[in-house]
Amino acid sequence: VSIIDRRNDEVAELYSTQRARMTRLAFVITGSQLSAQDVVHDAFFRFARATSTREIHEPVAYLRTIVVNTARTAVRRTARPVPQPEPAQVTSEPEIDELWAVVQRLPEKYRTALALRFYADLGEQEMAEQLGCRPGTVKSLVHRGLELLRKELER
Amino acid sequence: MNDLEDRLRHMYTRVAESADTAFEADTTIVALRAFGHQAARPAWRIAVAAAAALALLVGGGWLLRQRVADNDAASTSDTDRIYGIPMWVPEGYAYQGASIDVDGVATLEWRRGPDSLLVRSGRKDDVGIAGAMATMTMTDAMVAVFAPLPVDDSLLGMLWMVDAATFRAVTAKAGFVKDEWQRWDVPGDPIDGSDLTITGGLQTGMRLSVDLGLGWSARQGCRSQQIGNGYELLLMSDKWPVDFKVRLYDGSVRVITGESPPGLFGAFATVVASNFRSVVCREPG
Repeated sequence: VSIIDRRNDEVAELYSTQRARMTRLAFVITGSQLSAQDVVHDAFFRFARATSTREIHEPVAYLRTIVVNTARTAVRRTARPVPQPEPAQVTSEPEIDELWAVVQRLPEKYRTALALRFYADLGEQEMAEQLGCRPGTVKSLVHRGLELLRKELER
Repeated sequence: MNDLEDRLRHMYTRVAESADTAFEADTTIVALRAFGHQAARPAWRIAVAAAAALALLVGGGWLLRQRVADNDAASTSDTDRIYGIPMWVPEGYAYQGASIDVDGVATLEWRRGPDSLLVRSGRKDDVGIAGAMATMTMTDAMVAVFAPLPVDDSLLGMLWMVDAATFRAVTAKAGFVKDEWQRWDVPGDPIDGSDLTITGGLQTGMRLSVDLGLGWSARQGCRSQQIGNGYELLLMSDKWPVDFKVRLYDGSVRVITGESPPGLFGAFATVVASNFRSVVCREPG
């Protein structure tokens, strides 16, 4: 088995095991199913390209970084300058839908930080690596995101 | 706060589940329409879909490898100047941060309220980068503006192109830290104190200046500035490459080839020119 074949097998395996997980992650960041699917599709192609030129030591973390970055870019592209429409109902529980709607209105950086912390369950160090910033910044983003969220909910 | 955190965790779990349901529902609807019965996804269909996905990935990977191979001869290294740092601060916008993603694409971001200004570099293997560096002009694909800001040549022409190491060094500076990033001797007649420097930071703006206190900005056209004892001239143009055609009162003409500071487009030269009369910038050839 050549190196190229082996890498293709690895990409295919990653696709089958991680596609749904990455799509959910992209969805909680973008708030759009269509956008999440596009993000993950794009991310796998970029991942495949990266594996063709170098060895990826932690493929899941690497793929997640691509997904997070691509999702963040997608949010920025779609959210401005056109105001974000009111998010639709996603569950049958009004309390959850209300919280989700408020989260969707947060600035992208806080939304992403909260998703990585409370959905992906990443620690500060991992989040810092994902977001390309210092752990102290991560802490501040999560803290500030929660603060904004609480204020919005108290309105 | 813990209650809110718990609510968030619960919300994300439920929302993610709902996303799964939605994706599954889409797939099922397509299958029902295609086959007209309730056997939503036969095994052979899953196998075909998986094979198609694999073929796409393999095919895509092969094409990309071909592209990389084709570009090998012209490929750039980590030391090439493919990252643009603006020599301005967008008015009213606060610097947010910078990053280089896994593909080597760099992003700089400023924000003002809901508006955002992103300056993105191209990819390392972008043909556009080579073209941009050859002509020292940018293509509009490199600047994405999500704000009411004009993206014209003057904005694009004010990018200082740097290598990855410099980009990281400049963008790693937090707060309002300023630093001197580059020093360059203006070519031409040797004149004391005619070094060009790039100083500043991404919050306050980068500044290109001459030791003697002169500033420089794009879109001022061909010009000269007296320096030193008044008979020494700094010649400037926001084009590149450019020859400066200097005419003196005695009728003589001297042509001096301007040079561009590393990573900036614009030409500079110095000349000791007694009885200076005028200067004309002309493109070589």
